[in-house]
Amino acid sequence: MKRITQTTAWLLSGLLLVSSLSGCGESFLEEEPKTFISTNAVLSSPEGLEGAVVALYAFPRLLYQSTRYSYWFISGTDEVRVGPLHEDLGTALYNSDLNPQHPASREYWNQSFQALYRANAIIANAPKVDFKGNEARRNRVLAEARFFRAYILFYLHQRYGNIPLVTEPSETIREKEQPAPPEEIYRVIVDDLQFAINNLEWTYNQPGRITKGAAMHLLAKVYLVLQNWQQAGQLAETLIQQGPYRLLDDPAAIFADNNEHNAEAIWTINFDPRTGGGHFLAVMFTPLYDRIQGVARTFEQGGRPWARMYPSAYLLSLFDKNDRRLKAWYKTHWVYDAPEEGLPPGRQVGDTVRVNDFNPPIDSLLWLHPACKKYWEYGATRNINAADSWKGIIRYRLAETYLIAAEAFMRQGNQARALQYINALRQRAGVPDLTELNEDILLEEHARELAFEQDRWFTLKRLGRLVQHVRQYNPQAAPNIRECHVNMPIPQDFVDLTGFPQNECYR
Amino acid sequence: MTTRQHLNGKRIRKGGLWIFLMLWASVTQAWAQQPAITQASKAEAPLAGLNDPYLESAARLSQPLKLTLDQVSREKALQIIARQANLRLSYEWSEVLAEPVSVHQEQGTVLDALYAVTAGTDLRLMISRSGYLVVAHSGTLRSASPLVTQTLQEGSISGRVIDAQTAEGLPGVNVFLVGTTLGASTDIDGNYRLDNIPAGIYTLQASFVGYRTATVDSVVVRPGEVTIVNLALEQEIVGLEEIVVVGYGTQRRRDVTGAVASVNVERLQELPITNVVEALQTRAPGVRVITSDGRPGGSGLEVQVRGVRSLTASNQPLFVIDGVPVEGVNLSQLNLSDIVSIEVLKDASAAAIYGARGSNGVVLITTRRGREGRGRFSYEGSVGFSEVVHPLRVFNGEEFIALRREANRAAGQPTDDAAIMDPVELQVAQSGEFVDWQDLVFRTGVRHSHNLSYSGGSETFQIYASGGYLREEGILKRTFFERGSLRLNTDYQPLGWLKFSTNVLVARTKEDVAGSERYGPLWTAYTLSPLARVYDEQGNLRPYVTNDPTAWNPLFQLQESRDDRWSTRLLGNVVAQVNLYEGLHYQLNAGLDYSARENGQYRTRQYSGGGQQRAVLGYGQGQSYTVENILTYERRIGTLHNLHGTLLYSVQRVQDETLQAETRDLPTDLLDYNAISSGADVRAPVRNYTAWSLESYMARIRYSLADKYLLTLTGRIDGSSKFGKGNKYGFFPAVAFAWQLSQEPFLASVRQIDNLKLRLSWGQTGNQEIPIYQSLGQTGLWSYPFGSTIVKGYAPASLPNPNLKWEKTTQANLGLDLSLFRGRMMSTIDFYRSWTSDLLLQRQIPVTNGFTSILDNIGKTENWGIDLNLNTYLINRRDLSWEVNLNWSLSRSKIVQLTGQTDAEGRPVDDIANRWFIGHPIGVIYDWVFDGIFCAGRTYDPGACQQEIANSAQPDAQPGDIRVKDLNGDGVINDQDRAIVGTTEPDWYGGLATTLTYKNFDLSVFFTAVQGVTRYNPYIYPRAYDPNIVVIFLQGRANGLKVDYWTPEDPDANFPRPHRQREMPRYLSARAVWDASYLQLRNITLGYTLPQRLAARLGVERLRLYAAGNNLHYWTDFDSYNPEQGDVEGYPVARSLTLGLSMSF
Repeated sequence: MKRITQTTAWLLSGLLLVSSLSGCGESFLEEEPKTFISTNAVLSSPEGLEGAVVALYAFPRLLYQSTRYSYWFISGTDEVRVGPLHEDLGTALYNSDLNPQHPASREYWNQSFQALYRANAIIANAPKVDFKGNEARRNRVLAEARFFRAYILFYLHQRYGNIPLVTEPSETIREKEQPAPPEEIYRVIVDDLQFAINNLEWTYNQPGRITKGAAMHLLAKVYLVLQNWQQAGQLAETLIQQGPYRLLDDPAAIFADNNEHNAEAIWTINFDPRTGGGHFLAVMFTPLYDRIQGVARTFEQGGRPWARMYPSAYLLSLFDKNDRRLKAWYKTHWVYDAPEEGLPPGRQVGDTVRVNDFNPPIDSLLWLHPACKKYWEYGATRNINAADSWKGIIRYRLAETYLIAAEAFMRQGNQARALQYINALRQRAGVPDLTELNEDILLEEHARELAFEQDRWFTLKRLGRLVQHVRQYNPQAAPNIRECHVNMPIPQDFVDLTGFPQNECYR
Repeated sequence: MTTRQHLNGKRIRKGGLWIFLMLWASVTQAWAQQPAITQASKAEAPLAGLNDPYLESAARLSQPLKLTLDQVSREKALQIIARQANLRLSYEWSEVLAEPVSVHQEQGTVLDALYAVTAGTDLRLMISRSGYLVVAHSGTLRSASPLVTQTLQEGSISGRVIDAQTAEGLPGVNVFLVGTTLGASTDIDGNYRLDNIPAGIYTLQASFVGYRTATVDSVVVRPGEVTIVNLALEQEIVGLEEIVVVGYGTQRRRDVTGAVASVNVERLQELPITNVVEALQTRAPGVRVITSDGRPGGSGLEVQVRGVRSLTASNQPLFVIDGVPVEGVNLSQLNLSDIVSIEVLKDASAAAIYGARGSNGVVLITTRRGREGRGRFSYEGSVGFSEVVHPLRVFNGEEFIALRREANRAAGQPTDDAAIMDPVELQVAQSGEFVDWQDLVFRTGVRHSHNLSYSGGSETFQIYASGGYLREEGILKRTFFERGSLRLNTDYQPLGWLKFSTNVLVARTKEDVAGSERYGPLWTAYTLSPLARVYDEQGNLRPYVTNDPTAWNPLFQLQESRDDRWSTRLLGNVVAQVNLYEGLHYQLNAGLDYSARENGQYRTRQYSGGGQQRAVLGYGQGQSYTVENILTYERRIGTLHNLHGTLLYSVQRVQDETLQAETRDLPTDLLDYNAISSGADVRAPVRNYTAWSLESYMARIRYSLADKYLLTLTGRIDGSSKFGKGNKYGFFPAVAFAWQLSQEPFLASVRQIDNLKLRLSWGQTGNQEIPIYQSLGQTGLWSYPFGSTIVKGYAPASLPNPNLKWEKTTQANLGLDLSLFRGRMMSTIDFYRSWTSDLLLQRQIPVTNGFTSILDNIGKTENWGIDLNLNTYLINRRDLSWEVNLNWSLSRSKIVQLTGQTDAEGRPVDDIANRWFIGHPIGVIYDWVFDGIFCAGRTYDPGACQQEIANSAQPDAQPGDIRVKDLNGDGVINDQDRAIVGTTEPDWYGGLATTLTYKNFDLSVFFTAVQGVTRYNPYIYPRAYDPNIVVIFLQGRANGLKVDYWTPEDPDANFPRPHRQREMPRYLSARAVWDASYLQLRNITLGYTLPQRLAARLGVERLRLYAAGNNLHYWTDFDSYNPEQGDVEGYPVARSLTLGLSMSF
């Protein structure tokens, strides 16, 4: 019996051992992701590549989703002044806050190169994927990815001056980096955009998609940088003449709520609460008007105020008082509309608020500075107290194409054709035609038409006028700005990692 | 019933008898192995028949004995004689036995030697009926004659004493009858026998060093009969015979070869410890618990064993609960009252049995088990009150107005009240009714806990059952943690060779995690302007406290939101133990850790000015199963060799999945997140699934020679799914040697030394604590709206690394265990050194690779340190004792190698971006060096100031700006001027516990200290802990830590001038490096235990009342809620006062 019990014990434990072993076969230590697809799977099918392109669209949008970085392309020009609540004096005033630790500078750099990698991964893999003979489909994927690669490289180079050139996903880890020669960078940019132009349609049924027009517009801008006036003019003209775009009659309509994809918009960056955060440009440029006794917070008066930046006196001085753009895009006066708060003696609802209504007089720059209304949003996607808005941001519009054409022809000495394009904008604005064009006049019209639309800094830099204009028209930043400030600081951690040379001004 | 002993006992080899018994057993097997319970208290005929132990022992007294003893204690002399004569000794200890004696006997008998030793005393000798040599005082011996005859009026008691934990027989236990002098000690198998007991009813007690004394009431002794009483002794924590859980088994403390620290759990039961992790706080040398967040439930605790060695992978130890490894530090469902011991395996030899997961040490938690004998109930209850230990020092109303004026003035803006304040702020400023926000959002927290447990059982079935309830209301309004837990631990031995044990915990927790969101109440509590209105005219909470709609009212936020979390956890295992052959055991351990989690979040339409209304509901489920097959073999060869082998094969699979849904734009706020289905704006549900698995083989051999030389050899192979193909398996060997010096002849006679043991170990362990799927390329989901169509797609989200493998740590340990003066002073000291290679390192890479980091095996670190534990009884008298326990540790880490890249001069390259410097510790602070404030001084002289700035390396500085050192003296401040300005690794840390006991009162005090550690103060530079957070320091818009800032009128300052338009002053990070050393009065407990007579009158066995103050005070220069606080939105640590009682009946 002793033997029997022991045998039983052995059998039992043997059974248990076997049953516990059987739980693990060959694949017990294999990893099998269930809720995401591996990189290889994404980059090896047409659908996967088309999906990956979506991630590229998110890149230009990302910048605006941070409260502090959304004016990174607007700050620090002749057009804007620092508002009372401005937090980033580095880019606004070129003071010592603009340094290798500058958060927006670092963020823009990192986001750009991360998006660049995704674009490169698509571009490198699309040719290897079997599109079942549908070459148009393959080329569309490639064209969109190559547009974004060009877009990223162009703005990186413009912003920082020195950048490494990365055109394919690296097999090994890149450790050391050196600045690439600009001609190499621009060869890639031009190639990419030309491919995009050749392989994209004028319109897609998904508003917000990159089109042939967007690629042409960007390439025209690139040619201005390269001073290839002839190509720039030709491209801009083709776009104006053959593209499905037209100037809207009413300047106010361009930036109206729910009209982001109007006939003048070439490329609009879309926002939707269902796909993440909104942007903060709707509140950035509104003064703290609602702190004035008798003035309530309403959409008409500006909604929620953040008072980060406001139009400079120089900018406003450029407008003829009949210029339709002034009234449509700027607010310079506020009215009493909240009698329950108690109005100053002698003031009625509807009266304009004046500095001297109060004793002591209120500080006009603090509470009543003028405001740019281009990004205002009147309740289509937000409530009065919310800061974030999901109204689309028009990145490129036809008016800029007109200005590109005007400049290109002006540079080629074709005054008549240059004036034709620039006067089209003036006619819409209801102001007299120009009779001659030079760089100064062009810059003034550029300010009138495109102020706050994220191009001023780049145009001034391109023309070598940034430092001069800031010194002349931006008294806050004038004492600080130096020639080397036309390049932003390379992020310190990148310098630490790669030995990449820091730009002058920040060493 | 003789059969049972013979089946398992050594005498089984006695040929003919064995065959006889086999036959006999086969006939009677049905009842032969019946539960032993039927034998307890059952009278039987005496065993004397075959061999009379009495006659045997008496014969031995006349054997010749040669003996030379020089100045040894009488006790030791008796022991030596008894051992040499092969006599079992029983004696009652008294002062007389401690006196030294000398014996020189060339010729003579054992009895002669015994007489020589006891000469001149009243000690008398006798041989008991069961053959014991009994030494006692003459008055207490029933007969001075060594020959005692049994009378019919007398009976006997016999039985076996076992260890409650291991169920092994305990040799040498003193068993005696209370109120008499009758006693004996147990033999090698734990058997004892008391004879010549006058018939009657007795109370039997068994006591043994390292165990709690066990008492059995109402033992009936009948004339001529033997009453069987079996006892199970529960181990006590201190002492050499203490049983230590070492992983896949237990060991006596004296046999342990590795560095194993035990936490005295008993002492901690009275502290308001919600999360067991807190119990480790400086209670064991080499273990450090960092409280970065004080939220109820203890989720903000971090554990380090012997410092840090890994740069990216987790530095948290592995937790194993009753043999079931659990994922991460996830112990908030565990009830400390159920825990009997916590052991920390520190060195590689001890931890190597957990191979791939042993690098950071292993924490073994053992829960209580049922005890054989009369069932016993215990109740523990406490109620406590808590408050913030150190409220943050922020600017008060007037100071805040001054700050804002100065910030505006510095920015060249108007400073009059009307210009810098909105109407609400203006009114408050005029009325002077400032708001103290911390006062408003914090409250007195209340905590109460109740535990009722039952322990009892028969010889074959023991049970421990407990139910606990705890509710801890946090110091932030609305927050709480609630737990109900049930535990059932059983042991059942249906057959002599088969035993089942189960450990089951079922717990449910509920939490309100208010304030855990970004810019929530914990943020506003210190940043909100004191110029504010909390309530409107109707007495309702205002959504905004000024006219600024970003000035969210934290009380309103708390009112308009819900943040609930629940979890249900089932943690347990079933163990089947099969005795296959003598000393050969097979054990199957099947464990399951299942948890279900729910979370519900709601924001009303009014929350944060609207637009944020949302309902979120999430469900999660985790399951981890472990199956272990353990084969152990134990054998004693002769009297010298002791061999113990363990073989293990185990698999573990961990799986976790979550699903979360969110909708917005709900028609009503009335239903909270329960109305999630009514939201018009439906967000995409989020699903997550992760799984990983581990397959392991382990072999361990323990060998001891003469109980003096102890050797442990271990090897483990682990395969993990987390690593790349071909790198999945790793081998982790270890060897340890211990030398019991006190057993050597040259120390045996030094009676001051109870124990002296030298330990040496070497071993390798691994670390696999990295996120899963890292060897694969991961993708992220992106979505973009094209018009009203949302398009989604996956894009690469990480760089794959198919070469990932184990991080490997090699550690050597030299340890010394010392016990002096009969346990009056005990000390353990360990020196260790470890080398970690193939570090799993989330290495920062240039963003031109598409990502800013990649997980890689790179580099080497080294680590050395000292762990010291000292326990002394300064006073140890009957009514007064004073015990002091000191823990002291230091650990030093050093980075030896990083990527291996070298610069132009061939020097290895530091990783500045990650703050990793070769030759320096892991965790340094690398920044500019703060050098004061420009133009600080008694008076402000603009001219001199201009001069000072112009002559400095910061010519564009303004008066009142931060000055940093131009380290390289090139006249420019840039990244070359940064240096290592501190380390987050403390110089040393330790704990001091002292307990004073006087009669029934006891008072214990516990201090904790961490010295020589530097940290960024989160309230100055929060970006050090979260790169995305807004820094609002000295801007004048928001409040903040009160500092002495610079103004032209008051230039004597050490903080920069406020500035309205600066998000943060330049070089602020340099100013934020603070010394974070601290000394903490962690706990004072005053207790009173009712005298036994009084307790008996109340009908209870034991009743104790106590008051405990916890987290009482920090002595530190670090301005924060607590010097270990990580994030500015971390939950402040609370100070508490607890009143409690514990009783058993």
